[in-house]
Amino acid sequence: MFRQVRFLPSENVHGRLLPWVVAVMVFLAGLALLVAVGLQATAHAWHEGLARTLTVQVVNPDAEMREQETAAAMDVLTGVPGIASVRRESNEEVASLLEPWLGKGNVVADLPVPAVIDVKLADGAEVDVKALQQNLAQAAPSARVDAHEQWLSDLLVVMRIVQWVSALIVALVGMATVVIIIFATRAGLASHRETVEIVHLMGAQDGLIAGAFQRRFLWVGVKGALLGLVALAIGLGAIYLVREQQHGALLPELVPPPRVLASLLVLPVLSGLITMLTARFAVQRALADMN
Amino acid sequence: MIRFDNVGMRYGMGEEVLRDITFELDRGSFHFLTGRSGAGKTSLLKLMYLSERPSRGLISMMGVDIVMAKRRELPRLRRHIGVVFQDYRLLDHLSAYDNVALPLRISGAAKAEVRDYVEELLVWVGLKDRMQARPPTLSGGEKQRVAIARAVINRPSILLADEPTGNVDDDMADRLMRLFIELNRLGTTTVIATHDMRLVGSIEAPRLHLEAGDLIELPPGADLPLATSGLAPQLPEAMPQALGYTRDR
Repeated sequence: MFRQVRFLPSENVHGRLLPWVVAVMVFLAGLALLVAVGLQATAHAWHEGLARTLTVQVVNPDAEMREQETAAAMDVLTGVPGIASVRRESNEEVASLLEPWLGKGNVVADLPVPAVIDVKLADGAEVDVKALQQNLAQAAPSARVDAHEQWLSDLLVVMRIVQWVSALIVALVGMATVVIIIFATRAGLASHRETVEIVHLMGAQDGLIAGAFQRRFLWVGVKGALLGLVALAIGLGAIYLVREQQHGALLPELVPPPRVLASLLVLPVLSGLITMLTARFAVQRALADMN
Repeated sequence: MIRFDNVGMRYGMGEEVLRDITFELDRGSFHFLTGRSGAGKTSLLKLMYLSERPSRGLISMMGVDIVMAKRRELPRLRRHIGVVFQDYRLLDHLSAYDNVALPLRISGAAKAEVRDYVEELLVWVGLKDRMQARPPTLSGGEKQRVAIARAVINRPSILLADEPTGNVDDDMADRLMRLFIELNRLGTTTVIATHDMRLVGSIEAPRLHLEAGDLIELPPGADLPLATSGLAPQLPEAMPQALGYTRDR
């Protein structure tokens, strides 16, 4: 590493604004990263939770008939090889599933709510859903088998696309940051050209001059990233509060587990490294034009 | 120590400002560099302090071929060259102390060494009470003394000074010349570019005289050849009409 010699003047107003630009970039990158990580976790949870399950709904509007068909359907399901457990969801459980749409306490007793049967498959077992549907149709004509696969796979595709878009946003924000730092470094070099030239003529190595700039931009990157993270924390806190009020109905789970939150602390390091190395590279390129 | 061999120099695609410059300065020699404004003194100094490269010819500084030298070899050479710029080129945001300390810090000198050397030298040039002053608050003469202190603080092998006594009174000019002579006595090769013929006459030293980009070497005390001895440029005698004068008047 090169010696440190302080020779640059303190930053002007344009330089003092730069950490705020980096803060915005880090805020956007952090948000995009959280969306990507959050969707990944959600997709994983859904896949794990639903891939080995089936849901059977008995939709007969007549309550008595519905009860008879439900009992018959449970008998059929219990006898199918590969099914590990069969459980009928209670009326309270079904009502709670409807609460996000109908509101708490609005599911009246005479509402023709379908009976819901949760079916768990044994590990490694394959169940022919079409054959099962046919068997059920004889015992309980209004039974509907939902294997989740179709909508789950569609949803996973959408999630993958959103994840890629998030990754693209992170990459674009990173590139924009690099470009901004290159311009800022060049502007800094231009405004301090006389100083740089004098120090150059006194025999300072390019590394010593670049070092002065890279230290300045390292601080810009770290400071900007910390500001961006504070803004991100405030934003996440706001989303969390709104989501709590809505009982999680509309907003996705954007507040990730502590492990993921801790990994966001990499951003200041990454931001500092990007700004520092970009500044060093830009200064060395510019110095190469001097004799 | 310094050798120029058929050196030519031009800026960009312009005409040559220096032509076929050939001379050799021994280690520890002392020379004045004289010539009219625009004769090429500053360009010659720029070549010597490695700010520019020649368009043609060979330059050897401290045994290194400057034309062939790699860019990364030059900083080491520059640290052995002290320069007093005509316009001082002090860093306005640094104090006089820090301006003078800069070459030592770039060379990696220890803090204690920097403090001792800088304070001693600033006291010597009469700036004991102005060490923490910034250049914008200094007078022209004070700036010049800071610039000279900065140029010599590293005990350079080569000292190049462009009009180093232009803004100081005669007493301070003599004092600064004594500093240059003392450094020269210690082995520093010294070149002082000046218009001040009183200064040139004060020391028995050879001259490098530039005349419109051509170099004439003169031994100590020698006058210029008749053809080139006019220090004032050949100017029209009539006053410029643009100022309202007519030929009749």
